[in-house]
Amino acid sequence: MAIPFPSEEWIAEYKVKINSNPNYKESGANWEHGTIALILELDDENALQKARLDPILSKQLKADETAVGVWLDLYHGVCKEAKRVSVDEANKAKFVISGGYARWKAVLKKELDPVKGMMQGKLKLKGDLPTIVRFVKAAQDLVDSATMIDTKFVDE
Amino acid sequence: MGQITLDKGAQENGLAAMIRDLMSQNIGNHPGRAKDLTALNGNIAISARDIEVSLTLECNKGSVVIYDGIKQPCKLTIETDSDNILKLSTLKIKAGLPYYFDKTGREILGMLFNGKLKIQGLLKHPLLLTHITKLFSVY
Repeated sequence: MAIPFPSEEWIAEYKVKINSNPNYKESGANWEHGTIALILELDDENALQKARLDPILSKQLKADETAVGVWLDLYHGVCKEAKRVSVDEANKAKFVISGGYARWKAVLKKELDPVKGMMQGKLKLKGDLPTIVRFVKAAQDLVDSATMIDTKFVDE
Repeated sequence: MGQITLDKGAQENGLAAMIRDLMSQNIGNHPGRAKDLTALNGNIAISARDIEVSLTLECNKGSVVIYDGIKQPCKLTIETDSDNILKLSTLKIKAGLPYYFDKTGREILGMLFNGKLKIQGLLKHPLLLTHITKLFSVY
């Protein structure tokens, strides 16, 4: 059954997919550079309204919340923890990738390569870029893991 | 220490912001490379042709302003696909020079020979290319 994005259930499944992805296990084997957070801005009014109507997401989205943080604690090719956090908390991660709902949806549908998206200014990266450049393959495998989830997009 | 800044018109150019961060953080991680920044003089353009994003580094002996698009005249113009731009920054530096004798180095030379990477001004400004390569390299 498709899981609504970006619910807590979706994030839990993301952890499962990361840890069952042999490519990430290999490409992220030397990762010991800290946490990565993804910030999803529900900047699309239609998506935000539909998220509030979704039976799962409506229980998880606070009344004034217009963005969701996904916290990934990664170490040596393993995701130790994946959890939903506030944007303030997400911004405390060593690396933060943020973007609007439509951008993340395009990434999950493999319509937007995240690195190209960053170069085009569609996604924003905060953190030590030299470290990310050394782990581009791991970053791509992390995204690939997310595309393996049977995802339900609330605006569809 | 020199300054690397984004022109107002380049604020939405993601590649420009990445290049600024990459160069600044590299100098932070390798303070010896600050002298490579001081050695840069003239315009260097970078074009990621597959995503139609380009920028120009206007270098003035220690300060760099990054503009959106190509701003002539350029001493160097680096043109390739977006994936290869990141590959350029994985070129290792050995004995203070870019190292072309490992897998990454050979791949970059291969891209130069097969046209996947075009560098205008390569023969006329080899030192400028060496300095900018060192500032891009994450190693």
